[in-house]
Amino acid sequence: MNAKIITFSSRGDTTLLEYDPATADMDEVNKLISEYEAKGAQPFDMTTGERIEKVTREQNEVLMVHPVAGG
Amino acid sequence: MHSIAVTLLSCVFLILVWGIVFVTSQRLFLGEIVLPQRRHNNCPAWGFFTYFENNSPDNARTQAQSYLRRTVALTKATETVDGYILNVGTNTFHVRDRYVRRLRGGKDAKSRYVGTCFFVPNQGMPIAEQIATALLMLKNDPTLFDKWAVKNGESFKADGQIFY
Repeated sequence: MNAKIITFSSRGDTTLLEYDPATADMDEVNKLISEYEAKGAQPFDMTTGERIEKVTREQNEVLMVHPVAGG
Repeated sequence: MHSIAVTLLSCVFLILVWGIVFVTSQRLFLGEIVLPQRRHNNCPAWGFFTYFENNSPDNARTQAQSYLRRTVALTKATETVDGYILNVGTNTFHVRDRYVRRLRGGKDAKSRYVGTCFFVPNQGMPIAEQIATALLMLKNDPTLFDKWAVKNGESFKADGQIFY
């Protein structure tokens, strides 16, 4: 089963990346995550609901949430 | 009569070709690395219709509701008539569309706030996904409530930057 990096958007959820966790280059996956984090997004494991620092092969679905502003 | 039939058939053929080219180009230019969800691999001829079905506002709302339900389960939040109750440590929050109220907790000096607005600068994101985002973020870091609250009264541009 493939793993996915998704995000919320005006079209509902959007898949940013889909990969085979058994064979994927996880450095590349985390590089993509870092690029989104640089824009303020935060990765959450959708199995546990926990904020994650680094994506591993164990995570099957990671949600990048957009930054929330107060006011 | 024969020429009308040929013209009609040509029009149908052109529409089909346009549909295939349009869907393909959208996927290429939007940079989607992977196939969108719920793709019907067994009926490629319907790809044109599936594209519109997957990107319709109704479908976006359904997906958003689905993720909200999952997030509510993950964060162990409880649905109420007008929002969601979220317990995080000693705090209890009531989260609804663009507004969070603290029902319990926050006894330190910085936590004098009872309610605050929040918003996701991403324009057009379904409300269900905005609430799901707030639930996930508050569950992992309840101090965000105070950080949002201290911004009360500030005006924001569409990209989330503050107006000075």
